[in-house]
Amino acid sequence: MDVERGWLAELMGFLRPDQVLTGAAARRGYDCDAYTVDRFPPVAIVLPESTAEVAEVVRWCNLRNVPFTARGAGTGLSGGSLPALGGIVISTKKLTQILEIDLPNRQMLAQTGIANKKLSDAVKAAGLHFAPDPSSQTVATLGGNIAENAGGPHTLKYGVTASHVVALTLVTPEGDVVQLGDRVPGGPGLDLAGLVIGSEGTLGIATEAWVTLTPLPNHVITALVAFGTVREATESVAEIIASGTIPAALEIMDRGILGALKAAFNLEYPVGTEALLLVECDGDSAELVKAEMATVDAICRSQNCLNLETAEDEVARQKLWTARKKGVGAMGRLAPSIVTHDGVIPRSKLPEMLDTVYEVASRHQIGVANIFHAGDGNLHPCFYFDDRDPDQVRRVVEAGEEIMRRCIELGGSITGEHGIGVEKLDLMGLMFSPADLEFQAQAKRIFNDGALCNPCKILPNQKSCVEHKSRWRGMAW
Amino acid sequence: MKLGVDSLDFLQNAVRESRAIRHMSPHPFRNAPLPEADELDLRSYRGLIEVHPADQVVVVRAGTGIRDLQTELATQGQGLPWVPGPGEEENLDLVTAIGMNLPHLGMATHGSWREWVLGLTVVQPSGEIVHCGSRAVKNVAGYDVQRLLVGARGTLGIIAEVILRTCPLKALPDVAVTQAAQVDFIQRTLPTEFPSLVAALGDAVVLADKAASVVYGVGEPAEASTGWVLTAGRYAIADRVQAKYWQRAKAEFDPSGKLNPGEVQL
Repeated sequence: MDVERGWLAELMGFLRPDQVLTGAAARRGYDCDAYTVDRFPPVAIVLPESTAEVAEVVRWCNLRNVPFTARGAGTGLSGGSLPALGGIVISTKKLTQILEIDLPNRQMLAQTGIANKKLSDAVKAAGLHFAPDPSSQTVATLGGNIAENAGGPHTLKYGVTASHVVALTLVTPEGDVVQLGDRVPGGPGLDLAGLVIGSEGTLGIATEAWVTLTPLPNHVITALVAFGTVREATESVAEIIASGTIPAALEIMDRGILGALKAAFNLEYPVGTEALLLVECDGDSAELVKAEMATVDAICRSQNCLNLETAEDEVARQKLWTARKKGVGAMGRLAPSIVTHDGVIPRSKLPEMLDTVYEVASRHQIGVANIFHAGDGNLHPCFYFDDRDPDQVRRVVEAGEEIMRRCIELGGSITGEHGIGVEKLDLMGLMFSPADLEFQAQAKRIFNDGALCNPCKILPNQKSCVEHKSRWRGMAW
Repeated sequence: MKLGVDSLDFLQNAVRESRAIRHMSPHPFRNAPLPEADELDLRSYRGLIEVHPADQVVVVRAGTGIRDLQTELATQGQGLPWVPGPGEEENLDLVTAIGMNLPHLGMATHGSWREWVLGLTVVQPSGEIVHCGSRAVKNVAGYDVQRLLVGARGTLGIIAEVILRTCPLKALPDVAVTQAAQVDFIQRTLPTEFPSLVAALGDAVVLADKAASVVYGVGEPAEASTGWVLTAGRYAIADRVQAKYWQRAKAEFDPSGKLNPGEVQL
C-alpha cells in the first residue's frame, strides 16, 4: 500500500486528482471488459486528456516498471483490456474530441475515446458515415475498434476497421509519440498502421486517428426472410455469395434467438420459422439495388422460404432490423450464463458448419442459439447454461473447443472480430504452429519487446508473463 | 548464382544455403541488384493450389503471373480486381507486385494488395516455412503479419504462396487497361490537391487517375504537400519513423541482412 501511495503521489504530480481513480468501486468497475470470466482489479485508473498526457503516463510506467493496459468503453469480448497483475488502466474516456472534419477529402481526425456512432452522427448531414458498425457502436470507442479491428453487420460490403483508418497517432510502449500511416493510403513502405490495427493494444496506445468517411447509400432495401429450416437459410447465403451479389448485410438468427426475442420483447415471427435471414442491399442506383434484391428474392424462394418481407423507408427498415439488434440483449432471458463464440469459416461451408454446431451442442446437452454475420462466414454460436454448475462449464468448454477445431479444419479462424485477448490464448496453438507464432512474435517485437504494454495477450506462453489464474477458458461472456 | 525455383523444397534449401539473396523480378521501380547476391527466380514456382469460387478465395504460388492467374480465375467466374497501370508488365508475378505493393488503376473502387492478401506462406532467412492469415475473409486471430509483408520489398521474408480474395467477374473494375507507355513515377495525393498536382506536372502526365487521385508520369514528380511518390530506380526511406521501424523489423525478421540486400535504403 505504501508503494501504491507513492505511485499516486507521482501520478498526481502530472495529472489532476480527478484523473487518477483508486477507490475500491472504481477498481472493481475496471477489473474486466465484457469478457467477465477473468477479472483483476487494476491498482489505479488514469484518465488522460491528451496524447501528451498518455505519453507521460506511459513513460512513468516505464520508469517504475508498472504494466499498463489501455481501455475504451470496455465492450471487448475477449479480455483484451483485462488489467495486468499489479498494473494500471489508461482509460481513453476523456479523449473524445473530433479534431478536424475534412469533407472534401471525406476524412475525419478524432481522438480515440470517442464512441463509434458519434463519428457517423457528426457527418450524417453531409451524407457520410464511418462504415465499421459493431453492435456496441453507441458506446464502443474508435480506439477499441482500432485495437480489435472491429467489424459489424455491414463489413460484408464495406470492410473492417483496417479499411477505414488511414493514419494514427501512437504512444509507443516506451512512451514516444509517433505518426503511422498516411492520409493518402496505398503508398510504398511498411504498413505499420496496418500492423497496429487489430493488435489489441499490445503495440502501444492509439490516441488520435484519421478515418475515412463513406457516402451513405442513396437507395437501401432491407429484407427479412423466414425459413422453415436453418439449412435453407444458410444454403441461401452460400448461393447469394456464389452468385456474385454482395449485399451490404447478410445476418442470420435461429430459433433460439427467436425464442429469446419472444420472451423478452414479445416479438412474433411466422409460424414454423426456424431461422430468419436479414438481407440489406444498398447503392447509388435504385435500379441496381432492386436488381440485387431480385436476385436475393429468387434464391430465397428457390430455397422454400416461408415469408419474405421487404422495406425501403427508414422506419419500416428499422423494424425489420429489430430482431438482429435486440437479439443479443434478449438472450439474457435464456440462462444465468451465456458464452458467445466468434469462429469464422469459408462462406460455402456455412450449412455444414451450422449442422456441426447443433450436433455438438446436442451431444454435450447444452442450449445453443445463433445470431451471426452469415455473409462473412462469421459465426456467433451462443451457449446458454448455468456457470455455477462445474459439469455444465466443462461441457461448454469442450463443446466450444470442438467447434473451434472444426472452424480451423475448414480453413477458417478462431476469431473474426472479437480478438484473442486472454479468452482464446490457449486456442492459438490450434490455428498456428510454434514457428507461425514466433513469426507473429517477431512482428510484435518491432513495437513491443518489453513486458509492460498490455502483457499476456494474444500470444500464448510469452516469457516473463505471469498470467492470471483463469476460471475457465475457451469462450467469451 | 542464378537459380530458378520450381518447388517449395528447392526454395527452402536455396535460402538455407545462400548468404545473400535477391528475389522478386526486375522492375523499373526496384533498386539496382547487388552483384554479390544469389538471384532466385520464383517465376517457375507458379500455378493455382486451390480455387474456391463460392468463397471468392484462391491459393496460388507466388511466382504466378497476374495475367495467367486472371485467365485461370476467369474460367471459374472470378478475377482479381487488378488493372495494370501504364507501362506495367501485364503478367508481372505476384511475389513482385505484392512485395512492392504496386498501385493499379482499380484502387479507387477495389482497394489493393493489403485488402486482398488474406494469408501467406513465407520462407524465412533460416529456411523455416511459416504461415500467417487464413482462408476466411474475416480474421483477427493474432498479428496481421501478412499486412506487414505487403510492401516490405521482400526484405522480411520470401513470399512463396498467397491466399487472395477474388472478385466475381461482373464486379471487377470497369476500367480499361491502358496502352503500354514509359512511366518514371507514380504520385498520389489528396483529392482536393489532385487538380493542382496535375496542373503542376503539365506534359509530364502520362495518365491521371482522377478516381484514385493518382498520376503516372515521366521525368520528375512535382512537389506536393500530401501523399506519396514511387520513383523509378531509387527507393529510399526518408520518413524517420518508417526508417526506425523498418530497421527494427529487419533486426527481427532478417538480422543477417540476407534478403534483398540493397533493396531499401534506410
